[in-house]
Amino acid sequence: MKRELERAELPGEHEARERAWSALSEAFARRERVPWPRRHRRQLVVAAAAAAVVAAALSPPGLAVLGSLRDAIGRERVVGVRPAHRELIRLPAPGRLLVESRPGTWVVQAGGSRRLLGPYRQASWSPHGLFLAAVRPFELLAIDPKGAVRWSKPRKQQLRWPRWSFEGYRIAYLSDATLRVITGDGASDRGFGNADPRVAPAWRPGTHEVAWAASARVVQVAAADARRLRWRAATIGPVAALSWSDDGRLLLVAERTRLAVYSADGRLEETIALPRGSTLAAAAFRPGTHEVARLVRAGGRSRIVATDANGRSRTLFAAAGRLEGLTWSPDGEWLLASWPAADEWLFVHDASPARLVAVTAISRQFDPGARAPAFPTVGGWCCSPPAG
Amino acid sequence: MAVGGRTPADGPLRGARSYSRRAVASSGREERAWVRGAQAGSAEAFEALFHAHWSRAHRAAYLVVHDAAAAEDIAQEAFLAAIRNLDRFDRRRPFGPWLHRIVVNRAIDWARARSLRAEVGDGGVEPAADPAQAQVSEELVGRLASLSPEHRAVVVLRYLLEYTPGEIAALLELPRGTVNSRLRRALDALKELG
Repeated sequence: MKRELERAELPGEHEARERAWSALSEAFARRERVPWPRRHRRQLVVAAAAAAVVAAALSPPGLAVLGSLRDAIGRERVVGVRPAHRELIRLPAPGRLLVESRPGTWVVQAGGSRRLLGPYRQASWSPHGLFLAAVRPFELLAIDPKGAVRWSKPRKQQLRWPRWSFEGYRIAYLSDATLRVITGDGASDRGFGNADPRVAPAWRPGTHEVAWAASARVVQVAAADARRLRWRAATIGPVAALSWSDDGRLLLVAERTRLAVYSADGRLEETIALPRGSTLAAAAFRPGTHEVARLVRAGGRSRIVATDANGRSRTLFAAAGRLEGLTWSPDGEWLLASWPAADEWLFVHDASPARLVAVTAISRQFDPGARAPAFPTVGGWCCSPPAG
Repeated sequence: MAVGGRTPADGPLRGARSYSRRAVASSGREERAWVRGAQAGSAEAFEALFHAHWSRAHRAAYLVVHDAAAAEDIAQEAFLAAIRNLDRFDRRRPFGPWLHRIVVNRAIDWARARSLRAEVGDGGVEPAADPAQAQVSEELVGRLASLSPEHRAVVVLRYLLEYTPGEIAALLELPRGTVNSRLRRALDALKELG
């Protein structure tokens, strides 16, 4: 039987070997070595614990040794209560944040605890926050919020922007300059044509329709299962970002100098042109509404402006400086913007008057141990975990 | 998607220290040197590991899933898991059984999932390797395809990769009796179909 099994012809065996070697040798060359302390974490923890017990028992300076050992083995620091906003003690609203920094992707719990999941990039939540889709340079991965890889797909192309469909059965992602859709279990993987690699695709909630920038100035929406183009629209400026309202009725297209809102069937419903000299840095629908928040920069200042469904605008926050990113909390009460120059996150409560919670030293918290820590980006603020 | 309840990061099975010599593709000393070299970043050492193990891993996956594209993916993913966990790999353990465990468990998961994936339409899927699959005419392979994935897996582990029933039990985390009964049933079914 062995001979027969060994003689069975494998379709495309030679080509498969060539392809595999090409992808795997690339992956091997790019692999990130696990640092020595992590490889020997268990031994270090045992040694550190033993040393700490002895030191702590012998003298008061032993307590200091305990602290330094804790730092040396990379365990989370104990966060003090004061000064209140030197550390991210807790999020001002329920949910979990996804953060990308130089070491990789982090999950921040509502209580402020942080977990580095691994060296993943451009991660995004699955609809209920049970999984994350992320990429490494030549690999697409589905991981759980504890960092365990559920599956991964090596690819020869540069992968970007994995985004999960509403019920978790599809992931849209960019492979070089092509949009692809893979099933949530990683099995079927289909190409959908050209894509601007700078712009993340966006699933229409409640459907398997996906919107993406087919080129710098063209937005397309296709039914992924039927592989049918539903509509396309040309924009005035380069597309910077796409996002759907939670009810799936409106698509927000952020360009550099204007916002365009399309209906689900491709009709241009509304445009918001920015004043001359202003640029749009970010925009997002408030969860559960058609209200749009936008971050606008002009003359060295940044403003966060909210426009309701009736077109009335109000400024929520303004500062002299360059703010980046705009992320709504899942309950639609708070907005998170980044202020890299001040090394701060700003949580803006959309109330009257607006409240502000600033947290400083963000870089150090997400790039610990680095001499010049880099400022992280926020990848999403997700739903609370489902009950049970 | 889960790999038999264990993850590649767990490394080689602790309870299975000794494997059939034939189940291990290369000599133990040589393989340990390759693993050590790969851990130190040697592309040549990794290439040696790849060439020593790819064919059997790929073939094993194919004989369980009977889908050329999936078998390629599964074998690639197993190697990718190996790369990812290389630094944590225990060099005292053989590499092959660890890789085969990942391959076979993933192949079983894939084959099970295929039967459940009603939401994925087949229309319009890239043609993958369908035309070439027609070339697979071996009678035994055809008969093997009619078995369940679990039965195919024990046949492949026993007769292609040449593990003993005890080793298969350890690889699949099954009682030895279950492995023996699956083997018996699989062989009976293959005879009947023949």
